[in-house]
Amino acid sequence: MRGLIEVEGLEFSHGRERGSDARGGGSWSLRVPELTIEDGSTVGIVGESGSGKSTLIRILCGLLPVAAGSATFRGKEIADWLRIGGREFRRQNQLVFQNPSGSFDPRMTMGRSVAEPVKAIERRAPTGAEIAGWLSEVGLRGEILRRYPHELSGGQLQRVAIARALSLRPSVLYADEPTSALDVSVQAQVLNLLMDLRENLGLTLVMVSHDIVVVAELCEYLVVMKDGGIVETGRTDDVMRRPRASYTEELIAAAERVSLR
Amino acid sequence: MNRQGSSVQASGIHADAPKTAIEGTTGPQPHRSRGRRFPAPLVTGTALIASACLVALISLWWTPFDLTGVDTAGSLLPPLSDGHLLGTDRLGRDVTSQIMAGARNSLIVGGAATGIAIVVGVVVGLITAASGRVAREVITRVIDIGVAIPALLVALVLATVLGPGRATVIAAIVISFVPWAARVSVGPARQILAREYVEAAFAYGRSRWYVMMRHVLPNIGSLIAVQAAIMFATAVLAEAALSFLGVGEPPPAQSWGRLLSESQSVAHQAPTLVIFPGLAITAVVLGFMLLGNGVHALLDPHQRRREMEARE
Repeated sequence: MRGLIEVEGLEFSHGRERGSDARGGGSWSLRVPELTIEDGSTVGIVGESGSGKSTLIRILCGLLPVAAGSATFRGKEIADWLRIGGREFRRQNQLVFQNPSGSFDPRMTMGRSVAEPVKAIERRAPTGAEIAGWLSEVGLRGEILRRYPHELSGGQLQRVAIARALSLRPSVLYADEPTSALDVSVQAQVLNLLMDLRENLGLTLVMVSHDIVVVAELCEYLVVMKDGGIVETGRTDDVMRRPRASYTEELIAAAERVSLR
Repeated sequence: MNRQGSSVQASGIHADAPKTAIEGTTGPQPHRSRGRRFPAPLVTGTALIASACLVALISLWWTPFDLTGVDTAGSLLPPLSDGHLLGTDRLGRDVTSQIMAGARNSLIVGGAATGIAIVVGVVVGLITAASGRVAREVITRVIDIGVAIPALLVALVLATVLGPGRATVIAAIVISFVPWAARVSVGPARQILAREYVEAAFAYGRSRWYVMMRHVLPNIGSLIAVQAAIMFATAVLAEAALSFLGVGEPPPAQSWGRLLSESQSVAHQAPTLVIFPGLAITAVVLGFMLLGNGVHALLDPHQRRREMEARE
């Protein structure tokens, strides 16, 4: 069976300048020999910061270029998608970011921001009823549409970000540490929301996190990353019960220590 | 305080109606009152510039005395004599009328030079910010060279090539401002480009052009407005300096800079001839500086929020 997303011999390297923006200098590279994500699955990508997990999902949704190797979506190279059929590829691959307050243009009302993807991809303005529908899916009401990002809480913003990403009815939703900027009390709500939506909409969900326990709870498959490479992949049960890599054991042990406290 | 605030809001998301309703009613209020408070520098600066514009406008139709009327018998009259509010100069021309007409020149040169330089400079800045690494390095070096070119020399060279005149002054100021405007906009534009909402826009298929125009430009707009005000002030100063040096529009056109240079030789007899044009220049320059600060305070949402929090 072919996967929805297949990666083979993928390489990417950040130049010096990008590294200095985000990760404190030094050149850095990502190598993914093989990775398959099946349609409708939930995949958790875990690893410490700088392990390349965010970079990987940005390549998979076409925000960063493939330097070498192959990355396909529905059997077609992502680079080819972007050349012909870029809009359809964008529609099917959407993203939710770590920092909800940075995810919205501070000069746009929430209503304008939420309408943007449909305007960009479908070249039409969504109706008020459509927008209200997207918001109610994430448990918000229409009154926030006239507000600006700084007038909403982090949890509310992240819900709107999810609504915005799902407004295009994507087949894959990438979530880059979707809860790490939120209060603990809100984290579980947002995670539950993501899981509910995934089930209702039949999404493929790829979630990036540094917290292996949270991801293990939610995802069928785990990808463990370290220093720009993949350390271990497998079904969550197998990885958690019988980790093959010592780094995975460390991650699990560290997470358990934290949760015991 | 912040933490408490967010946890209260978080419980509001549980979607029990009363709490969200309370949020709904208290939320927008600071938003509405925001427009009414204008910072003092903005008010002062606007007043100064508005009066300069008004004087310039009036001078188009009316000045107390004829602008070209030379009356050597009535030269160097002190202020408030024979109906000359600010006295007369060496050639017996009314200083009030000269300053009024000079305002026109200063504002036209300042406005044209600043407008052209900001548009060209910001476009160059945005292109630079959006370029790849190599292109960006190259353009940045070119901009650095442009900033290093001494503006005064450019102006004097231009004057010998094009001849003195208003267009020469504007061209000289534009040439020295463009690299400055470009350099000032590159950094902030790149900061905006690194934001998640820009990544999101690319992820839902917006073009680079659209992102630059609809996300980057509006978000660096307040900064550009502040720069424009400072540039306008500098341009007024530069215009005065260039006219002083004889690069500006030749007589009989009026200019504050030339008023100063013409009064140099008689400054010890009639110091007011230097003081009044000097004050006029100072007032306009100060006005634009204050306007710049005021616009900055008004448009910067982060500063505005900090002020709002400080008042609570």
